[in-house]
Amino acid sequence: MSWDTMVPVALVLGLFGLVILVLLWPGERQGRRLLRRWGVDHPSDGDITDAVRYLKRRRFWYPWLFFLLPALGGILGLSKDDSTTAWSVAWTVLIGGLLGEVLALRPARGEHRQASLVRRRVVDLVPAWALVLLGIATAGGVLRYGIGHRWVALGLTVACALVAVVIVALAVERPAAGDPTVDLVLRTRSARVATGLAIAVPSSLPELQMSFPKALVFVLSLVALLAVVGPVRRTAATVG
Amino acid sequence: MSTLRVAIDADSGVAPWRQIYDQIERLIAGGTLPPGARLPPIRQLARDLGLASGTVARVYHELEAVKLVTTGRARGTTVTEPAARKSRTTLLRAEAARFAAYAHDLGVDADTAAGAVRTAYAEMATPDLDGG
Repeated sequence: MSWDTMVPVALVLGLFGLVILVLLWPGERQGRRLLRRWGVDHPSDGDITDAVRYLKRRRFWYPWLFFLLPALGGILGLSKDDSTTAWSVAWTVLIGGLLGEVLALRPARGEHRQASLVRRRVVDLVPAWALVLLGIATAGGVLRYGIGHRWVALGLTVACALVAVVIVALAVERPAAGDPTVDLVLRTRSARVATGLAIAVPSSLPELQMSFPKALVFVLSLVALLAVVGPVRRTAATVG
Repeated sequence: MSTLRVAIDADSGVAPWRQIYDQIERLIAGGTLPPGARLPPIRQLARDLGLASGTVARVYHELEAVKLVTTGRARGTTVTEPAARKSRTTLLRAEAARFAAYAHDLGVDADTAAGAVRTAYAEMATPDLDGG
């Protein structure tokens, strides 16, 4: 993609991101809905505040990322391969999630602090089968793009998996905030969204010739994405 | 409100390690944390509560001293079986016997030795142990 086309694309995507930000900017209603979908049926005002802060920490970045990612791809020469444009949405959500988790690394403050006495492991946030799928999808993407000499797509596939792994690690390790049940729900959501996107990304690149096997893999990866990122209501019950 | 959690109140005037210790002890005594239950790693609990690792390590050390938990490399810190636990009375008597022998060797009478214990208690910043 040349500069002449890259700048308009970036501007359109940035504008699109801004519209999304205005539409999705979270308020109390969105916070309450998120918690209820994840099994916190009666969230307190403090719980809702925590959920809204969680959403804001991610969505704040979306318009900037929509604008920056295609531009960055153009500067680095990545846009010759259409991967960056095709994956802008996934990358925006992934990097937004990463920045959200990094911001949540700040130590717990406040006079009253709570913590769960349940040991927290990666498989408590993301099921083992999803991690296996992540490995298979990444390996499949590397093999496929390697054979096709599509090095940009290969690099993006690996980078996507690495970002997802970092997000999952941060979701496990970061300090707790607020009520332990809400805290676990938000960690789980972060880890699952990152894993789901990293599973779907390798097969979501548009193909000029879409064969049946490729279409099948594409559909299966979308099904896996939905299965992994879907809210799990029982999560809230596992705090104890 | 779930029960497998601990909370600290920075304004309570009680040392954070003591607050956590008391809550875990109650959870074990009440059976909410049954024998074999695994406590979270020191690092996780310290980070979640915004405390130094040493503070939580002290809690686990004190719980281990009264045989409420045991720490192993593979299993981490787990709640012990009740039979393995020594009561506080037993632990207190053992320590008292050692102190009494020391005081006796110094040629001090029982009232003076007890007075020394009371003075030591008064000088402690943290609240004393419950009976038991």
